[in-house]
Amino acid sequence: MIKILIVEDDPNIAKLVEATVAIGGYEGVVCGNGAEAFEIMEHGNFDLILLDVMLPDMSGFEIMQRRTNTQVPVIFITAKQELTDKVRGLRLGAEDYIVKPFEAMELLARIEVILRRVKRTENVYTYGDILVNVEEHTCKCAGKEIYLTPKEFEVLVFFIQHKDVAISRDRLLAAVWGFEYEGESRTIDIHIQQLRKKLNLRERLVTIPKLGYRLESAKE
Amino acid sequence: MRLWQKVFLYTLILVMLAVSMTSILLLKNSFSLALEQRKQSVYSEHAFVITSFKSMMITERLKENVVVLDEDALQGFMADTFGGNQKKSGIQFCDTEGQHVYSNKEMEVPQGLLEAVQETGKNYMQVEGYQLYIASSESMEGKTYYVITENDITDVVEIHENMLRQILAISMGCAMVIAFILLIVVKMLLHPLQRINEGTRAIAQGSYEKRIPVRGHDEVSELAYNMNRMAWAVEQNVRALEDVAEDRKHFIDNLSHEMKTPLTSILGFSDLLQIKKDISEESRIEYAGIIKEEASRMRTLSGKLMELITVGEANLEWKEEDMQQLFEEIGISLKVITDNHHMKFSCVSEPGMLCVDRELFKSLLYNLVDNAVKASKEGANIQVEGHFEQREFCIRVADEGVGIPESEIAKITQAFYMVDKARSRASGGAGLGLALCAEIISLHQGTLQFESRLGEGTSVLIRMKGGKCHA
Repeated sequence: MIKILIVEDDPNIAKLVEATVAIGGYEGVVCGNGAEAFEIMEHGNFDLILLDVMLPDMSGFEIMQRRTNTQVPVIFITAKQELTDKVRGLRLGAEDYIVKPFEAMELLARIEVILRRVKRTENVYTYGDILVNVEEHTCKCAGKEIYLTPKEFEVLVFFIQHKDVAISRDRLLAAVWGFEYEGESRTIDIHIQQLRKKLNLRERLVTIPKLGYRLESAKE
Repeated sequence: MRLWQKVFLYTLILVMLAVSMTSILLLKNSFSLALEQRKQSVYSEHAFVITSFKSMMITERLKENVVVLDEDALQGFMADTFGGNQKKSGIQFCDTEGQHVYSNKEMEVPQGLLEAVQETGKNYMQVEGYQLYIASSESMEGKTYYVITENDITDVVEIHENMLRQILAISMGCAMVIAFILLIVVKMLLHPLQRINEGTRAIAQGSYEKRIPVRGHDEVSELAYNMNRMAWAVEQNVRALEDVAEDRKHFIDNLSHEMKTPLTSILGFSDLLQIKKDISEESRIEYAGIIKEEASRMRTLSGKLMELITVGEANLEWKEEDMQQLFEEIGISLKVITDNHHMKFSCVSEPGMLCVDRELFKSLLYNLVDNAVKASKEGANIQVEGHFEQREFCIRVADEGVGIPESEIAKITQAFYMVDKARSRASGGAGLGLALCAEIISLHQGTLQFESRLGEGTSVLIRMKGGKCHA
């Protein structure tokens, strides 16, 4: 399981981030103090670090400057939204910079991007009798290969990565078609219908009124 | 055109004008003087010629043995007398009708000469080109003749023209020399102006700390001095504005941070509640509790912020209040809070009047006691005491709480500054209480002072001017 270190001094926000990464299926470890976090980062074995900037004892920027274990990717999560801070954070070697307040799905999406970049995500997902191989771009249902269009494939992977999470059409548009895509949400409805038909997901890929869709956990 | 060019050009033109005017006037004067002299000599020559001609005529009459010479004889005599004479001056005789009788050489008699003689009956002179003509009417042998002599004055005119040419040349030379000297002088005089110009340009472009070097005691150095004073004033104002802007920016930064922290929790947890499918009852209550807690934090923050913003506005009610009474009144409402935390509390003052805004004064004491309560443990003492000292009213709020580290004391009245963030958050503080107090005290023209020892307690000392003691 992927382990994420959450460095955040406000206990409520720390709890929020922990709950959010849990949705994505990651294990979160919270640390509320800069100096302690530095120690943990140096010796601990984490796949990703979510780092606040304003921390007691040692600021996030300082931690980044002093750390020697630079293999682990870092995402800054901070209330400082000025461009200079952003630039400074990224210059110090952070992979991304998220400004508070943020949405849960946004945080998850950014974590995924980073993990995919450093190749810590899985290549093969299973969901019930469906087997998806991201590397080979193939999808098998009950051992039979199913042909999916590239977009349908990406939508399916996104849903499997976020099981039991209600996903709005906007979120899906942004994740699969890109932020700049200004298409209608009808496009999504059509893709969902196709997925339901091809993979027999009518019962499990449910519509949530006024919000979007959700892929429910496969019943064993 | 540049100033030095203008000064140079105008001065040069004026000088040249003055020099040439004077020399031309002088020249004209000397020319007319010379001409006048020549006229005198010509005049006497003319008279002499005529007198000698007349006396020679008498001799001729005796020689011819006639009483009166007839016209032809007279003409012949004229030719004899003047014909051989190849002098420069010509002579002409005319009769009363102006008809030519005799002339010793070709002569152009100027117009109006004879008429003038006829009218005045006297001698008349006229200058025509390089010749000076003089005419007179003479009676000879019973008839009136006009005698006109022509005199060459080329020398006089030529001298005049030569001098004119010379003066022109000299003037030109002078102009060159003057121009050269003037150029140097003007440049030298206006050089400091150039320096001031460069200095002010630099200042205008934003380097307000620049100063223009001041040299000498003339108007230009005065200008430089005043420019420097102006730059100094501008620099002061700009710096003050920058400070204000910096403070404001700092305040806004802190404010946005303080707002974002609870906002992140509120938005994040409500987001989770919305998108997650199965949430245990336990988590649901926890998430809702956090949302509520953070929302109330925002409420506290906005309330304090409103207080801080409105405190500086003009709707204050200044009134003389009796301090003993006011302290008693405030003490009653504050005791509710301290009793909740099981603390010993007293709030007393000497009797006496002080001009205050009642609501602000209450808010001041409330905030200070609130801080004291937050810093103290259960059962601790909190004392609020007021007394008059000379012309000041002193308030002391003392607690037995955790105290403030010495290095932090200077910063604690800054908005959003918290010595112990976690502790302050836990007790619902927004970091604005002391900023508000400082604002209220400055409106009352007072001073604020802290005495603190770590672990032993803090005393807040306030001095307000203008108090009057009853006792």
